[in-house]
Amino acid sequence: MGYYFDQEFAKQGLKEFFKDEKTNLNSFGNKVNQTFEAYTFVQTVKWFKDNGWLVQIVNPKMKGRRIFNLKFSTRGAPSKYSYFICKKNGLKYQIRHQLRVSTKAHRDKNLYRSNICCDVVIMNDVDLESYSTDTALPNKDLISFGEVKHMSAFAELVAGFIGMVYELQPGRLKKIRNKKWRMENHLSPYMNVSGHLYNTAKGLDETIKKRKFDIDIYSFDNPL
Amino acid sequence: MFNEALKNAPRYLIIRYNSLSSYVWDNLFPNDYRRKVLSRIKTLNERKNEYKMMRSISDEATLLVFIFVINNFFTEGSRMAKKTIDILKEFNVSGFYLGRSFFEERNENVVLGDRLAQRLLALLDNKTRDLVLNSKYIYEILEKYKEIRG
Repeated sequence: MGYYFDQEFAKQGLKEFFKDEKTNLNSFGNKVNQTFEAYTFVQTVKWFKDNGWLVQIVNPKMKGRRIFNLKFSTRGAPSKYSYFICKKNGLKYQIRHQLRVSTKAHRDKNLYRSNICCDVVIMNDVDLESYSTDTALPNKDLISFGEVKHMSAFAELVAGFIGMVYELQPGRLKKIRNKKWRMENHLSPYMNVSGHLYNTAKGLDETIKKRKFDIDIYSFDNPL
Repeated sequence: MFNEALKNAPRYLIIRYNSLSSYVWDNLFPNDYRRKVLSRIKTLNERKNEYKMMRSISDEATLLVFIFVINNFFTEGSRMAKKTIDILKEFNVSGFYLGRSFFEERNENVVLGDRLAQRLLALLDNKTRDLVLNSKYIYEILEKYKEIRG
């Protein structure tokens, strides 16, 4: 017996559970992060649809057939993967996932390429057919982006995201959301965590709001 | 020993258990608390027994917190897979591939997390299962063990 529950029974059961379900547990563990990435990507697309955008899917051609294909790695040419086109009031954006984007400070003459592979990218409607796995979208074509983390958030995670915004769209880290501010036609840069915000992360989120930065933190309690 | 129960667990769950174990111990019996309680006990044997009891309370709390955490991990995985498929349907896409696994409707890949969670929760009695299901944060479970600790 135990203090609150029968721990001997639970331990014995767990032993059998891990033995019987070993393959399933490994498979689940390998896929769950990517499932959350897929969810955030399509939820972003749904946001556009729900906000009056005309949304159209574009699938790559594979063996003569158009197939819905998600990208779950930083490697791979963008043309091999599905994306969405969104149209509204003369605006036309693409929503892609796992796309490499040049940082704001990158210059072509630099010795090394300065780019970041973003989990979700909202971008101008430019042709990426010629892009290789290492080609980065020019920063001027980046409209917004999303970072996905399948975990609960702590302060350091939020700080890492702010650093990412600083590299990609430093202009968002200014006093933007004042009284006159209205949400743009699209989502602002965001981080979506599957879990909750720990108090340390809540502290940073509070200061983000107080500083009126144009970024959002979504979580289990504040979904995208 | 609990190590025996974890013998066949995947590595990512063993890592999770070990980090929870330290977290729970530090939370229920922080250094200053231990020192305060143990210093009041006169004989070495009694101190040893008290320490053993602390460890045993912490081990049970860790086990329950571990079940709480992995239950959420499983159910969340299935919930996200279902939501992804439901949204994709709006765009006439029936499902998606993750490696060689196809996620569609409510097939085995989609509900795997739910099934694992169901089997996991069957290891608990009704009262303990309710505590796991009705808690949102780990500290809510630890509160119960703080009451036991006194």
